[in-house]
Amino acid sequence: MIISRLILRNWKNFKELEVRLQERVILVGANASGKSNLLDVFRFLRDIAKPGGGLQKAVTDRGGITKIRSLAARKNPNVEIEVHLSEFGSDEVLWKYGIGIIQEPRGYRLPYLAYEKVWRGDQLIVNRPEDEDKSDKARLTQTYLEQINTNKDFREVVRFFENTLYLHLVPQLLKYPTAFTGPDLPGDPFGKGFLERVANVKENTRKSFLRKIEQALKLAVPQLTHLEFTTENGYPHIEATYAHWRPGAGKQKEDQFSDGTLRLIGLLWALQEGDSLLLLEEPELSLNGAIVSKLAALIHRLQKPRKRQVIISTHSSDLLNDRGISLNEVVVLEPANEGTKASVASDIEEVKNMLKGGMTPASAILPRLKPKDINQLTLEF
Amino acid sequence: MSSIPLNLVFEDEISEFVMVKLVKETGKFSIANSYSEGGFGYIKKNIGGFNEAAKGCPFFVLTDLDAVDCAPTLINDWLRSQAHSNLIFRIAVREVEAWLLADIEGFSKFTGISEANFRNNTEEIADPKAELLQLVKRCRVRKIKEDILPKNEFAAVGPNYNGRLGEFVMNHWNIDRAMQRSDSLKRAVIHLSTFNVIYK
Repeated sequence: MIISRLILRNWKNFKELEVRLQERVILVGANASGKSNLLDVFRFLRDIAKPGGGLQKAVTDRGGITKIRSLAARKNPNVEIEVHLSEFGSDEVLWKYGIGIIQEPRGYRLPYLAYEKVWRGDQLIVNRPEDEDKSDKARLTQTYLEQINTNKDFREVVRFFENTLYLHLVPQLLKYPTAFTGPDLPGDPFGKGFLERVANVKENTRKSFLRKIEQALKLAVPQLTHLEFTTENGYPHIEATYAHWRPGAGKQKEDQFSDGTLRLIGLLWALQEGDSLLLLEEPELSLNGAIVSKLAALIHRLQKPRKRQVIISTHSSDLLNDRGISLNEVVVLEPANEGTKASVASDIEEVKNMLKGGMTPASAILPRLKPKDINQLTLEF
Repeated sequence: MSSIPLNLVFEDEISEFVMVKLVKETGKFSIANSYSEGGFGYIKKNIGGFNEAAKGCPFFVLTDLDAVDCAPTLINDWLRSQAHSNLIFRIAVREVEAWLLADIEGFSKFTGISEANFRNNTEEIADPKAELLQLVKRCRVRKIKEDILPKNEFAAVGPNYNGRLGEFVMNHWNIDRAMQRSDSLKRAVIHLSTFNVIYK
């Protein structure tokens, strides 16, 4: 399944947003335009739906409703999220899920539901607050997503949300694990536990994933000849062999890998792992432009057989120069006074015309996102 | 009258500063988006796209003539189809640096280089960037020299070439004076000030 439409109200820097989403979605926007905040909606739904999660925890982990609600929110204080789910490659809406969240005006100021609705197709099957919610307000501090005995009729939706995978691998967390102690973040967004994840996959699957990654790395990383999973004193490692005149030499473990190699391994792993919604934050980081220019096609190839939606955020013109990217796959975020405006690039007349005139998505879209007075930057200091 | 949104297309940062200044002085436009990836190749490759998009919003394109014989040759060579009337395609002879040097009084005051060192026939300078660098060697303001002149033979321009010249363009460059010595600049100014947007 994929999320085919996203509707938001008062979510972080989006006062109002409604966009259609394709199987592959590329989010672009200036710094602080809300790319990560948009991805966070899907992580938020995951945090509600996953075991040990829930509405209260998902909100608290984000610093409370005040940190979630848009600064531009006025009359309507609800934070509202609605997603439509469709089958990969189809326009038909199979499910709709919507919640409105509000904060208790006094007391513990807990977040509670203004409403929660689930539609199967067009049929409304959950419509809260129900009578029981009215007699017991505490019920509204939990969604039906997080309760097995209430979500039987839409378990498919729950599973879809909870399996969402987000990756923004920070190589330093892998290279210097002892320097970053403290509690792990929910869902391991920065890949600190990446090696454990690799270790936990069944051996045959792991071997097959790593063999594919090895083939890719041989092409992308000069001198790399072999990639292997090892364990040492019970700790998992990835070991690479580099071409060296002395056989047996040239072996390196992940703490010696370059940032780019590590990020590429993480990316290629995540693309192969599972069939759930995958969120990739700036996959171009640390990678050579020639590799980045292949990413969009690579994502397409790996998502297709798994019927898997992939949403990425990017600043990269190398990535967007791919003429195989359709304008309806690109969501453009443009900050304005009353919150960020999101539009699908195929709805922007000027961009469409430029593409017709032979320009690439990158050259037609990215210049729009430049801060207006950026040429003053060197003058101001 | 509300201002006309105008998109800018340029080769380099200096051109951008020059265009912003020209547009500001004309007083009837507001700048919408600016398009550049450095160099003329980008403009040449994408001119068809800009021409197409000019249907909806005017575009101001500035490029250097460089070694091409004359401006109409360059336009015909680049643009296969008829230029839309909202496409303001201007060419600096031979490079936009010549437009800066054409304000002899201003540039001389900014850098402290005597006016006697400047050439009056700006449009006949074959390589205006090289000319500008030669002139700045005479500059007595250390900071300006360090910014504009290349550190050594392995760099083409100084580390803050664009920034420093941008400062000149925005704060000191006098278009009226420069127009007197540069015909291509004069044409560009006239084109902008008489321009009327047509949506069709």
